[in-house]
Amino acid sequence: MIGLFRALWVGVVIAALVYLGFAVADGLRFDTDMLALVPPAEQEPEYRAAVNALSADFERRFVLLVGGEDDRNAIAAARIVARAVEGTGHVERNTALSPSGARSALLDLYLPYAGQLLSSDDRRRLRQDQGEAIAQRALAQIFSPASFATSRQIRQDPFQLLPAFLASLPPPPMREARQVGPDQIYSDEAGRSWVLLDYRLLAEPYALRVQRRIESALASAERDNGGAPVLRLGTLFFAQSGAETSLREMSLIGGASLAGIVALLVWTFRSIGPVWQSVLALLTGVVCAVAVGTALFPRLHVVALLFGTTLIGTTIDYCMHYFCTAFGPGGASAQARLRHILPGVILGVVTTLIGYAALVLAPFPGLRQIAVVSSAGIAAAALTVLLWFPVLNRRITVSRGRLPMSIAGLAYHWLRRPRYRLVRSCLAMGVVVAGMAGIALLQINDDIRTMQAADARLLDEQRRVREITGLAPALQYILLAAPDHGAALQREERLRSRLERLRGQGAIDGFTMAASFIPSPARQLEDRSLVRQKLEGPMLARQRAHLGLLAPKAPGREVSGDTVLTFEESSVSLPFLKNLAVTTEDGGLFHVVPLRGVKDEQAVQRAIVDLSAARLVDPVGGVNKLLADYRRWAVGILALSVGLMFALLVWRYRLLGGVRALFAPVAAIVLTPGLLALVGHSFSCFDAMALILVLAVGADYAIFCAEASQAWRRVTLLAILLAALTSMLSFGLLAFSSNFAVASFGFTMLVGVLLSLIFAPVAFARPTRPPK
Amino acid sequence: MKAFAAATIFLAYLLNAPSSYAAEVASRAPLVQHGQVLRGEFVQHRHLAGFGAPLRSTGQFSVAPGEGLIWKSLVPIPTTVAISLHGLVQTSGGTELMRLSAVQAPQFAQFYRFLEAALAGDWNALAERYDIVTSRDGEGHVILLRPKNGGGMLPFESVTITLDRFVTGIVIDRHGGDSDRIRFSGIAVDEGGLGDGERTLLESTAQ
Repeated sequence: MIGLFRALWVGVVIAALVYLGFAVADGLRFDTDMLALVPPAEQEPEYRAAVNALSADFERRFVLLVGGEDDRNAIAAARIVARAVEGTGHVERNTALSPSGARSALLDLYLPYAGQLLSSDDRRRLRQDQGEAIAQRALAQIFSPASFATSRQIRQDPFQLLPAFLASLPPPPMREARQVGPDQIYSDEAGRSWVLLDYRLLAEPYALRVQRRIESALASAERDNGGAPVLRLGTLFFAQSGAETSLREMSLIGGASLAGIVALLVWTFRSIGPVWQSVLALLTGVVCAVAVGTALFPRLHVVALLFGTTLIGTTIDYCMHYFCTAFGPGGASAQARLRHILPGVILGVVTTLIGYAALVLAPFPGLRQIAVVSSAGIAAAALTVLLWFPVLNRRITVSRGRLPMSIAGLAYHWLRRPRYRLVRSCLAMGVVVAGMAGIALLQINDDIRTMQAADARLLDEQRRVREITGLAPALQYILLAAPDHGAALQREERLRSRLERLRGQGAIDGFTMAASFIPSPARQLEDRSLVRQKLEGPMLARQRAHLGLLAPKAPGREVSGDTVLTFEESSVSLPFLKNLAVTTEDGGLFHVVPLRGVKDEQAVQRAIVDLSAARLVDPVGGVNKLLADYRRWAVGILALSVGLMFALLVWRYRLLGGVRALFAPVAAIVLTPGLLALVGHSFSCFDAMALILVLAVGADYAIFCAEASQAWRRVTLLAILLAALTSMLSFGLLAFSSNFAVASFGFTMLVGVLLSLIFAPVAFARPTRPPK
Repeated sequence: MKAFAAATIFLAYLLNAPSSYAAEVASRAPLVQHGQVLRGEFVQHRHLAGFGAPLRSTGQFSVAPGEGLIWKSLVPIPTTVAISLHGLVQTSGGTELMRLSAVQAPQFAQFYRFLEAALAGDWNALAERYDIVTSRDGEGHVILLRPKNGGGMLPFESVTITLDRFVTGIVIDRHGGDSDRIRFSGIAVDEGGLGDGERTLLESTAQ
């Protein structure tokens, strides 16, 4: 019968492998979109697509400032840098940033439409029949020495409506550069010149190959320039720095972890068998997990994949228990060993699956995927241990385990001798009191910005670029959906007055919108009619006479009929407008209104609540909220899991036995955050997720202790010790990572597994009735 | 013969070399110092291509180095323009017609720097942004300014300044064929500084 199951399991694993192979051949891709982790009810796919399109564009852009003692040196150095960077073939020059020259471009663009572009003040004046004041202002300006109006501008705009309109435009998003030939040059406070190079990546910004190519081109250009400074700003550089650090850490931490685990297993069992057999169990778990995840979900998220497969790592415990049974009192028969661990493995798997299955209840797609992937993986790895290990692992002899067993014996001796009871109690109480005291100090941290360990040099360069150019990315923005640009501009105009009110109230520092530069077609037609009626009709002839304009021309405009200035026409002359609109892959059009200095997000939300097409987007706030939601759900699910586990353990061991069995995992998940708080570690989503793992391993340790008869306790202790050491080596070493999320996970695992190990023997106490 | 011709040309070049005047003019200290005010009257003719006649205006001006410039037209449109590094305010009959901050319109700050330096005779300040060629005109000097690096934000082709003790005229040739010809008279340095009204007006440019 067992042989049939064994063969069947081989077939299932092969089927999973084949299925996965086909999925990979079909172009299996994992979802990397953080917004996909948000509950579907909050997602709004069309806005999500727009946000993603904007993020993708933002991630592909980068800016370089090349410095020199004066313009000539800076330009020469910039030429070398540009040649090197453009030589990689991965970039194109971007003109969308360039504010320099925008002023003359504005005039050329607007002049033909001068009679239909009104500042809000002029519109108000005309509505209040104050056209005379506008006419007088025009004359005063034209006669003033400070007038920059050319004869052409005066002929076409005798009421000088355009200068007033231009003056009403918002300040440029960046400082104005000096245009020297084709180069835009900024000066810093020390008088040094900096040439701006603005690029868009044509390749994937997170591809390490691309990042290294660009960085190498920059390094070579810097050498050729004799050390002329180059300041970098862009996701590309931070991504590369992060990737290189991660690679270094992975090779160091991963190498140390692997070497430690292999050395530990080989030393304990004097055989390489347990190493590859453990790897086999974990691999079958991962293969089955990914296959099930891919089959059940249209697109598996990379976060769920990573965390789900990490959870499978807890099944290393079952491997250790199986291997250690070779040192047990009942002989080395494979079937006997299997029989001995079977109840513990089944109970361990069931309690773990109960806990993870609770994740399915969460409304978060990420947690549901994690639940499915980890449950499938853990069940598969456990089946491999139960079905294959008795065949694969027969050769460990008891004599090889003498030393490890004597170490476990010492531990057991210390645990059961009454004279150590006081010391044991004091130590346990000390840990409990310290942990509980730490809980009072616990700080919650959901702010992604505090979790980023960005390269200090790049941060400094970013700060310098912002100081010199005034370039400051908007951290929050409003997305406006519309069928076309004209309608979008009209919606922006409705939004504008509300945002101006918010600015007046100090809720925001400012905003940028396309409608500030191009009034909607409806408004242009309305303004044209107003100008004709209130200004040109009654006053044009007199104004022209004052100015000595000879030949009468079409009043104030070169365009005729219903021609209006369009977004498309404007964005050719003013390329920065392209950054204020985004079209999604399925053709959805959105206008973007970046907000500066948002002080009161709720006020902004209230201001747009009745604008059905408007959404406030706060990428950082969104991620923070997501982290907070996941943290809360993880903690809630931990509590639910504990409840479900308790029911199962009470069924198995009765009330007191259940309490003892649950003591270690509960103590671990409660005290770990407290103990970490004592050393200043804040509690984040990553700690909460690690606690789910701690609960699983803690429950495993305790269950095996509860299942162990007197004669097997030293063997069980050895297995738990080995399981804990491998967990600490694989997860605990992550605490040394410079990445906050990884380090948090590692810290919590390190302390949590240690506490689980320390308290697991509590479950050794005789249950009130023999195990079923 | 050739040698004589060459020597004659060389001598003529030396005699007319603008650099000798440039050194003399550049060595002059600015005519007006901080705390003082340069006051005078102006007649401006604005020549606009395609217009029947130049636009003529007359009035008074005051320049307080570092503080600002007040340009008060009396005819034909009574209007006052106050410009400082902070911005520009234009009023007429006590009514504010226009207000621009230097952030909105940085070209006005540049124009203020230019006009202040030209009227106050601060040639070193002008030399930072303009190539300067000086020549003698009777007892006075003619100073030709050509913008460096494309002229920045000011649409000037060239500027010609005539001066004796003070500036007597400025001709600004703009891109596109327009030009301003401004004649100055009655210029004097007022040691008393700005009046309260003037100071308030200039300070209002920063609001």
